[in-house]
Amino acid sequence: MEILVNGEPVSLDVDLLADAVAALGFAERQVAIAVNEAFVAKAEWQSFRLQAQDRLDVLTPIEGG
Amino acid sequence: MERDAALNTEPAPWQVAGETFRSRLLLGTARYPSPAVMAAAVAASGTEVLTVALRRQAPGQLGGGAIWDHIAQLGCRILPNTAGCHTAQEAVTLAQMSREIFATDWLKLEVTGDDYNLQPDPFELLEAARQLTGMGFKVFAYATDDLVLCSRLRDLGCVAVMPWGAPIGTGKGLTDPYALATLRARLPDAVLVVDAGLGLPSHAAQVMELGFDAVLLNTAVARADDPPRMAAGFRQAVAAGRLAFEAGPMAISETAQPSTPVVGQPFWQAER
Repeated sequence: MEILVNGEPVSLDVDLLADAVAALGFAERQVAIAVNEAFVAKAEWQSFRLQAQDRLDVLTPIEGG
Repeated sequence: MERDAALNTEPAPWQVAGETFRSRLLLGTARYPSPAVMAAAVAASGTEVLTVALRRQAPGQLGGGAIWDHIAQLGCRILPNTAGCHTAQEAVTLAQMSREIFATDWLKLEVTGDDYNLQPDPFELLEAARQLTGMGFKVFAYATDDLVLCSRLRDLGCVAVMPWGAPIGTGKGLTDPYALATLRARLPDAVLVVDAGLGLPSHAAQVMELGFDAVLLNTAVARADDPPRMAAGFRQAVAAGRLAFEAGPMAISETAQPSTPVVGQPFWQAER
């Protein structure tokens, strides 16, 4: 199915958010995720089912003012 | 005796969100020429609180993880921001993501209403503050210097209210000292921090002389020719301004008052 990851279309053969995170190479990284502008806690990734055209925001820490 | 005198030259510590800090200078981590310069500036500033942010991570790119590792090693309290958010909902979502990543309830709440001068949106800001304080966040609310807005943010339970000195990154200093003085007078028990717009240590001293609890700045240090030296300058200015406030300034007089005693003045042979 196709989803949007940080605004970019991505095709993944997965249903669960945790599997998408692994497929995208984020599993070992320090990231936080929102799906369709709603926060999904890491503890829920294993049970959160993605739908086609879901919009994922995958965020990582950076410098800030 | 020397030990006592040294102690008396230190500004009083301050408290926010139940924690006590000696430094009244909060520092941003962006826009430095390099991570090494940032680290040197942080050390020179004496700060105990650093601001950070979250941004999108492109698949397959290492991105900001490295800089975060660098910041985390500096040993300061972390204050994540919600820079770039334009609605309460965006800010609430980003706050939840920040809490998970940075493992802190502390949050510098920013909700932009106008992109030209990055002016906070008072309506969305209040709604975000209402939701986030209800979710247990320790909200440091970045606001304009509007008295009613800042009062409402205090009433909502924000642990600190942070009016701007001037728009972010301008370096203009205090565009409305009267408004800031009014805030301090009307909200005597609130933790008030001037955030943004400062360019010089004298601006920070002015803030502290007004009785504000602390200052938060970034660009003034990061974009100086020599960030560590500028950080040291701000450190001293913040301390100087706070000491002046604690000492209590003299009353201003409209006319000259001789500082040298006039009794026994020589050569006064007649009335002038």
